[in-house]
This record gives sequence, C-alpha cells and structure tokens, in this order.
Amino acid sequence: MVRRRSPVQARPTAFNIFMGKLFFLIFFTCFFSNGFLFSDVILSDTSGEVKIRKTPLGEWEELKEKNLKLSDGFAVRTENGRAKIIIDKSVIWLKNNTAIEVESTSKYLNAFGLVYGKIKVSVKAIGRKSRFSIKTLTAVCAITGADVMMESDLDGRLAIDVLFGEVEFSYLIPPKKGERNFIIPQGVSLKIIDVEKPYVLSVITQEKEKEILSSWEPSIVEEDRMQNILYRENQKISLKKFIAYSDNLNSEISNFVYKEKESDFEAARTLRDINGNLVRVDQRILRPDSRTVQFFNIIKRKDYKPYNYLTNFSWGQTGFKYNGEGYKDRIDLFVTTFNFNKDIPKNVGEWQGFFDKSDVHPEWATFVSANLISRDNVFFVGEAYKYLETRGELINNTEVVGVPQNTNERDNDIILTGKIGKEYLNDIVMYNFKERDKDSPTGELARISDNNVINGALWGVKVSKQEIKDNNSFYQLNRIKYLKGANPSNEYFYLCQENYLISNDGKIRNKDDIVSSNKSVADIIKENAVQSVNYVKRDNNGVADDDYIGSYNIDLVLIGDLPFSMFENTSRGVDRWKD
Amino acid sequence: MVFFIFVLFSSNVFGDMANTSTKKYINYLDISFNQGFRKLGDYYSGSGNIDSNFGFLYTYDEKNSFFLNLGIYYNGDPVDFKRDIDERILNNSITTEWRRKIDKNLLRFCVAYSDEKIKQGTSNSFDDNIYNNKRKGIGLNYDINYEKGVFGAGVIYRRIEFPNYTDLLTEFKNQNSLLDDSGVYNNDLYRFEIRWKHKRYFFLSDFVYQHYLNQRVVNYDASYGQKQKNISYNFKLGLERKLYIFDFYPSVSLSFYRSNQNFLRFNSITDINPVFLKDAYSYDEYSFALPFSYFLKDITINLEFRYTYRAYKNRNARNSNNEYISEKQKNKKEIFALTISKKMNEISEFLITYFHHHLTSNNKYDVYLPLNYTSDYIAVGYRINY
Amino acid sequence: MEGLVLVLFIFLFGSFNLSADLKSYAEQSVAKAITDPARFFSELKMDSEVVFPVNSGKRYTFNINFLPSLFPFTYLNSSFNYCLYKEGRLYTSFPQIDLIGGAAYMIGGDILANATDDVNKISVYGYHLGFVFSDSFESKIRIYYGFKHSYTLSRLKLSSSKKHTFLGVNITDFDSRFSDNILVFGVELLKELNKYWSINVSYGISRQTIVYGVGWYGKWFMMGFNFYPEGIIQIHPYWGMRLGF
Repeated sequence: MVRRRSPVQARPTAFNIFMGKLFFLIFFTCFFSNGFLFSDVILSDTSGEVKIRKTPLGEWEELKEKNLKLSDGFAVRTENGRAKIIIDKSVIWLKNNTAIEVESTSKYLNAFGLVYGKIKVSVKAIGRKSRFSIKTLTAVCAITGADVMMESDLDGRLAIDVLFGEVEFSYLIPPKKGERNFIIPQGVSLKIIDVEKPYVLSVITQEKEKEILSSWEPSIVEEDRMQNILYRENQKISLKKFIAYSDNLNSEISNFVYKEKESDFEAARTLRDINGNLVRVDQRILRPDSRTVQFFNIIKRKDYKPYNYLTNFSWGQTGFKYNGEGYKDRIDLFVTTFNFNKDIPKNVGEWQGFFDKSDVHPEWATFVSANLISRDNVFFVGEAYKYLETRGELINNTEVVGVPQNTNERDNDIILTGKIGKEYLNDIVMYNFKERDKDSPTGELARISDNNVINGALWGVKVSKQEIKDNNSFYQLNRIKYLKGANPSNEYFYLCQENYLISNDGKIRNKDDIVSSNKSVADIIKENAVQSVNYVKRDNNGVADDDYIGSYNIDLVLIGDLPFSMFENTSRGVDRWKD
Repeated sequence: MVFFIFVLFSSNVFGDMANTSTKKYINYLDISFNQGFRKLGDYYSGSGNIDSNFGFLYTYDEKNSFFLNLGIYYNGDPVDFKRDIDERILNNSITTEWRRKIDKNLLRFCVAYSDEKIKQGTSNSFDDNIYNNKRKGIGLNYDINYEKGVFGAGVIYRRIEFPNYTDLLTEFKNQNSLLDDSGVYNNDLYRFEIRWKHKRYFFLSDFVYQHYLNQRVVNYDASYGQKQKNISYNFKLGLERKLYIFDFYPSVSLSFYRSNQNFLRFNSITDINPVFLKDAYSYDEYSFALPFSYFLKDITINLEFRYTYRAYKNRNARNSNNEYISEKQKNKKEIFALTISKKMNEISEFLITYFHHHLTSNNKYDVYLPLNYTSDYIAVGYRINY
Repeated sequence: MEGLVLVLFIFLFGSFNLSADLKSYAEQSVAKAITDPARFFSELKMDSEVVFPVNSGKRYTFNINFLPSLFPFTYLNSSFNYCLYKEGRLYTSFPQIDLIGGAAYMIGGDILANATDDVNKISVYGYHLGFVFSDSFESKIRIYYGFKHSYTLSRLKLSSSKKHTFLGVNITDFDSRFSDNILVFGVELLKELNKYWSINVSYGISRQTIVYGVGWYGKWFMMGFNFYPEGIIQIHPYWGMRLGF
C-alpha cells in the first residue's frame, strides 16, 4: 500500500524554509543580543576595603554583593584592599589605593579609565575589530593580547610596563617633542615623570617583572601559589633526571656497538648489477707497510647468472661474449696500491700536506682486477706504473717489467694478465714481478725477489685501441690490442672491456640522469656505481669471441663512496699524478 | 618532524608565565652546542657538537606518570672519538617511560629507539654508511626508596641492527667461509643492573650479555665457527662530598670484558698468510675519576681528572712495523677536563671548555686508531635549559 | 663579556689553527668544495637566511646579509620576515607566527669560473621559505622554533677547450642541487632597548645540515657568528642589515 502524503502535510516551499530560518535568526539575535553586543564586566573577587559607584555622579557605596556586574559609568575604588575585574577572557587586577572607571562595556570597545593607583591588565582573545583601552589623565593605551602593569596619579604621572604583547600608546594632548602615537613593545617600560617633559623608555627591570608575575589575586594565599611552583619544580627535576639517565644509558650501550677499527676507511653497499644479480660491495683502505697504501673493492655475488652478451650494446660486437658458466658465491676484486718514497703520515688528515711536498712521489703503483675462479686460483688483469727519475713521473711502459724502452712502440701502456695461483696475486699487487728474460722478452713474468716464474702470468704492450661509445648513455666498450712480451714473434691478444654507469637497480644511466639530475653530488655518488666487465680474447685477424686464457671474465662493480670521501685528503695527490 | 610537532603543541607552556595553576604536564628543553678546536699531535681540526633534549612529563594521577625524551645529538671530530679521528656521529633517539608508585617504591617500564649515523670526513653524507645502526628495545626497573637512600635493580634489552654492514675480507681468503648476506653484525644486548645509593655513597654493578645473530667467530683458516658472544661485568663505586669549597664526586670503576671473537690480521688484501690472534678482544679495565664542582654566584666551574687503564688478556701488542711482540697490549688514558659556565639569564649559559688527553700504549702500530698521542681541545658554547 | 670571549677565541685559535698548515687547510677546503659544489654554495648562502622572529612592535623585517654573503661570497641577497599573528592576540598563549622567505643570487659566478681552467660559467642561486613560531618565556626572553626549506641550484658550464669525458660521454655542463628541510630552534633575549641577543640551532631533517649560531641585532643591523661543523668553512662571522617596520 502506498502511503500518500496528506494534503495537510504539504511539501514546504523554499520561501517557507527561508522565513523559518529568518524567524529563528531574529529570535536568537534578540535573545542573546545582549551577550553579543556587550561584554560581561564582572567584579569577581575582592579583599579588604573596596567601594563602588554606580553612576558618574553617584555616591561611593560599600560593596555588598559578590560577582557584581559592572556597566558603563560604574567605578571601583580600593582603599585598603584589592579587587579583580573579569571582562570575558581578560582580567584587570587592582592593587590597594586604586580607582578605576568603566567607560564602555561594548563588545567592540572595552574602555576603562585609570583615575589613580596601580593595576595589572591581562587582555586575551580580543577580536580583530575589537578594542581594549585604558585611559589616564595623560594618555590612552590600547591593549591587544598583552599583560601590562600601569600606574598613574592625579598629577598625570604615568608608568606602563609591558610584560607580554604590545601596547599602542597615544597622548591625549600632543607633546611638545616626540611622537604622539607609538607602540610600546614587549619587555619595555614607559615612564612619564613630568607631563611637560618627554617620556622615558627602558627595558623592564627584574623587580618590576617579579612584581607583575607575583600573585595579584585578592583571595589566593601566597603559600598555595608557592606550593604549586614547588610542585612544578620537583616535576622538572624528575624529568631532568630521566633525561640524564636515558642519555647515559645510550652512551653506555654505545661502548658495545662500535667495532674496533682495522683499516683507514670502510664503505659498503648492496645493489643490483646489469644482469639483475644481487651484489655486495666492501671497500677499504689498508696500509701494508709504512710507505704503502692500498685501496680495494671486494665484490660478492651469491648467484652469478651466465650470459652470452651482457647488454644489447655489446651484441653484435665481437670480443664481448662470455663463454663461462654461472656459479655461486662469486668473488671479484679490484685493488689499487701506491708505494711512496717516504713514510706516509699516520693521520689521514695530514695526507694533503704530505702529497704536496715536492720531494714526495710514488715509487710505483698497481691497479689489479681479479676473479677468484676457485679456492686457489685467480684470473687477473692489471696495470703497473713505475716512477722514472729521468722523467719525474709515473710511467706505464716496458720499463715497468724491466724491459728497456728503446722504441716508440715500447713506450705504450703495458698490461698484465693471466690465470695464476692465489699465492702469486700478492706479487702482482705489491709489484714483485718482472719479465722473465729481459734481453729476449717472452711475455712471461717472474718474481723480482727470487726470480721464480709466476706460472700463468703474462704481459703485453698496447698496440691499438678501439672505443665504442654513445654521447647520451654512459656506456663504453673498449677493445685494446696487445702484443705479448712486446716481441713481434709472439701473438697478439685483446683486452675487451664493457664499462657502464648503473643505478642501484642495475639500469644504465643517461647523461641527463647525472648532469641534469639537480641532485647533490653526494646523492649521485650514493645512487650510482660503475660496472666494468673485462675479458681477454684471442686475436683472429681481429678480436675473436674465443678466450685467450680461459672462459673467464672479471665482473667488477665499483662504488664511489670511498674515493668521494677521501678526495678531500688526497686531491693534491690526484692532481699531481692523475695523468 | 615529530619533535617539531611536539614542541608546537606544547607551546602554551612557553607562554603565560602569570598562570601558576598546576598543570598535568610539563616540558623540559635542554639544548647545548659547542664549537672548538682540537690539536692532536700536529694535526688541527675544528670540532663541534650539539646535544638537544626535549622532555615531556605527563602526570596521569598520583601513582602513574609518563615520561618522554626526544634527543638529537651530533658530534663532529670529537675529542674522545670512538673509532676514527675524523668521525662524525649523528644520533636521533626517543625514550619513553611509564612509572608507577608502589608505596614508596617505583616501578619503571621504558621503551627506547635510536637511530645512529656515522661517517668519516665532511664530504660524505650520513646516509647508508657501513656502521649506521638502529637500536630498539625495552627496559624494566624497580627502585626501593628507604630513609637514607635508594636501592634499584633493572634489566634492559636492545636489538642493535646494522643494515649496511658487510665484511668480505675473510671471504676473499677463504671462499667457502660464508656469513649470511644481510644483518651480519646485528646483535641482541641484555643488561642487568643493580644500583644502590646510601647517604652519600653510591654503587653500581651491571652485567652485559651481547649475542650476535649472524656474526661468527673467525678461525685461523678464515672459516667461521660458532656465533660471536660478548660479556661484560662492570662495577662502580663512588661518593659525594664537600671538600673545602668544592663539591667532590670521586669514583672507581672496574670492567671485565670477554669476547669469543678472534682476529685475522691481513697486511693487505692479498696477504695469504694473515696472522691469527685467538681471543683478541677480551680485556680488563680499571679507572678512577676525580670530578670537582665549584659554584660562585652565576658561575660554575667543573674540573675533572680521569685515569683509565686497559689490559688485554690475550692480544699481543705490535711494533711500528705491524709485527706482534711478546707483551700483551696495555693502553693508558689520562684526561683532564675543565668547564666554566656562566649563567646569562634564567635559561641560557655561556660555556668555555678545555680538555687535555694523554694516551699511551705499548702497541706502537696505531695507524688506524691512534693509541699514542696527546690532544688538547678548547671550545666555547651555549646552553639553553628550560 | 661573552661576546668578547667569543671573538677572541675565534680569531686567536682560528688563526692559530690556520697558520699551522694554511696551505694544506686551503687545499682540503677546495677539495671539499669541488666534490659537492651545490652543498658548498648552499653553505655560503645560509647566513642570509635570517630566522630571527619579528620584534615586538613590528609587523615585518627586511634583511640583507653583507658579510659574508655579499662580500666575499658575492651573493646578492635579501630576506623578508612577516608576522602573520602576534602572540596571544586572539587565542591565549598561541605563539607568534612569522612567515620567512628570501632569495640569493651569486653575481661572482663568473669571477669563480675565471679562476679555474675547467669551468666557463657558474650560475648559483637559491631561495628559502618557512615559518617561525615564537613564545615568550619571560617578558624579555622569547623561545622561537620553526621550519624552513632551503634550496640552492648550481649550474656549471664546463670549458670546451678542455675535454671532460666520463665513460665516453662528453660532459659540457653539470647541474646540481642542494636542498634541505631544516628545523630551527632558538632563544632571543632583549638586552637593552632595541638590542637583542639570540642563539639558535638548525638541524636539517633531510640532509642533516647542522648550523648553530649566536647573534646580536638591533634597530638597524645584525651581527654574530654562525658555526657549520659539517661545513667547509666552519666559522662564519656575519654582519648585515635588519630593518623592522
């Protein structure tokens, strides 16, 4: 059954709704208008002798009732007593021997006249268009959101101390000198000692501040107030002790947190490489002896996925094919070692000064990359530099392996490579190697210390280099041709390198990712890494995909944390020997 | 940001000093900063630090109250560095405690979290560094108050995590020796403590047990064995006395630290014969401190002399060529500290600080962590305390 | 008194520190600047980011930092602090709210570029925006706290006569930015009429920028010391104009 609306229950029209609302608005406005238009000025508390006068021409009477509502024309006088007047959220306290008149109790203008005596005024929550003013014989003070003490007398002398907030001061009669209207800011006292003379401004004194902050409440006993203060102080002491305790505890726990330092610098990162393998990198600086400093970068991959060609940049380019397998717990290494002609300062902060000395130079330097192909064997590729007194610089030519550089061809860079026992890697890194037969170079290496052959290690001199790159993406493919032993009767081989700048997710970076990233350099360093994959390939009238030494590669991921942090201590050295 | 919001919404405590009514909560602020110069041997550097604490106390009722402390601490090139001369440490921490009065005694339960970032030098940023760590945990304490003093006992637990730590050096030596990939240095720390203050005397004793979740003891062949554990027993005895015009708080401390961890000393990354040191980290430490305070109107003078002696149980010292000698390693540290503070107004002070450190050790190979040096440090600073 | 001690301390021990190994210190500072130019320029600009609250009795302040921002760091700079709400005006004990903001542009970029062979042109500019609350602890002591966002952009155009390549990519320019969201906390004391003293601490929640300082300011000028413990130049004495209206 459909319920129909009865004719009586006609749908209200828009006009009816409007009239209804208007009616309620008028009703409530009239009912509460008194409260809307006028402030409640209440003489809420008194102590001692307090008199009131209900009209300007009326007689002074004893105060008989509590919470007396004051309206326009009322006056209050304390003789041997104190009083408190509340105006909405504002308060006026009267000290003894004070007389005050109520001039206006309008919501938009609370005006009082201080005839004589001392008052404290706390004005709060005054609307933007409202005004609260206290007038004396000399001036009018408009107070908005302030705590003020005022004292005046019948001769026109006036003192105003602004504890909090600001007071707009206006002379009733313009002075002979100085401004008529100005603002008295917080913390400032104004004094008019003689109405004929200019006012004096000064910073509020400690005594005045104490006087204002002390209790002016007519009926509160000082002991109660002091008790409250004491309670708060005790609470504060508890809080201070708690803070001291938690700081101390944190500090004691810190003693168990820090690992003892056994290197100059350490950094680490976990990221992904180009193939998506999860990579952990550990970087450190060690000092093998007092004149040698070694920076190394260990790279570990729990799972190393096999691949044919690393990226599509290397597809179709011979020399960049990986013929090896995937395996677990793969370790790669990059080591840079510098040996100097003098003892290096203990303190890293002193290195800058040390490198700047003209009589300091590196004796030799090695840069070695390696892959741990098994527990006892490594596949490595490296470069070595030797200091030549005659040239006054580090050189990387056949002199490095002790073969005289007597042709232009032999002045080219040399490379060291091979598959060797792990025990020989230290000899490569610490520059304990030379050509086995310097008069008729074979390209094989032997130890300097005992002339024993380093089985599997060989060297070659650079013949040519081909670079494949792009100006927008950070990738670079190098194919560098070497002649084994710098001996034309030996074979050639190639070092093929794939170098990429990658993000921590393994993506190759573009130029804009770096130069227009609008990030700080520290962020760029932390968010990126260089992946460098090295192969040693055969020569087959050009570079072949077949490996020269074995189906190995060296897959490095280098982070910039340590070089970036150490640059401030090594920049001078870098500048001198960067070439 | 939490700190800022807290301060913002507590702003009405800063204002309206005329309001003396009892409030259920109070705030406390303590911020100090110092900027100084440090001379360590012939090396000079600027050194600064900030300690800022924001405390909050809410009194629920007569028996229950709630405490909160937010702290931000920074120490750059500190005088008493932990690991490195150029270290910079930034620590944010939050500690909360609930207290309940039981007769005259006090039961305290706390929850704490702290985030510490450590770096070396100025160039690097604080994020993602190898020794950044987070510590979170709880604590329970009970204090018995009696007429002449207070006796307390407590237990604290912290889980300490190093999200970026890794150690691949031994894995290069022994490819088969593996640590877990992540959380290598994470550990659980337990601390059991007894405190006693009787009249002017105080006594503290605690036992700390640290259990590593993944870090293992390294063997001579770079393989890994059982999990690493550290234990420490600490005792401290002291008193408060008035000595002529000074307030005097002398104390004596003993520490016995034991760890099952060994040490493989690699000369270089390719060192195939690293030297193996069994039980390399256990030591006994003795120290005494003589702090004095003198108060003169609005000037406070604090003087302290502290001496610490550490003797390793099984670690041999090294000569300057990094070779081990027959003597066990012994370190000595003497510290003299002077702080003068002058109250500038009710809430701020001006501070002048001077430290003199003198360290000696029979271990002459101290290139990574200096053990033989003299350092002086002088700083000026300010403190806001409200 | 403490101002005198501070000045003596800084110039006596600061020069003692520098003279011990001035060249090494300078090289280290240059190296630090080169590794992260945007951060370095941001540090130089920060003295011009005035966080002092607007004085009682004023509606806004206009500030320019002469030393060191304008000279010697050649930043044309100005900042403006506007008081949106006076303390306790409408609501009991609600703090004063100031909006702060400013900008700076380095006019000496070209001078800097000429000093090095690698760079042709350097443009550096930035701004800061934020707000500061202040509460009166006593009539003469105010505590202020706030937040500012500081941004500096540095654009380097590298020299074409020198090739700068990295992994085969030719680098001709480099833009880097340093920005931080910084919490500020401080205390201001009215010492004498129109003479204020203030200490403050700033902590960057995004980039851990740490600055603390002490300053004196009055009707016309402001001066003091800012300390940058993580900075390349750790102590910055400053002097500038601060006008309140």
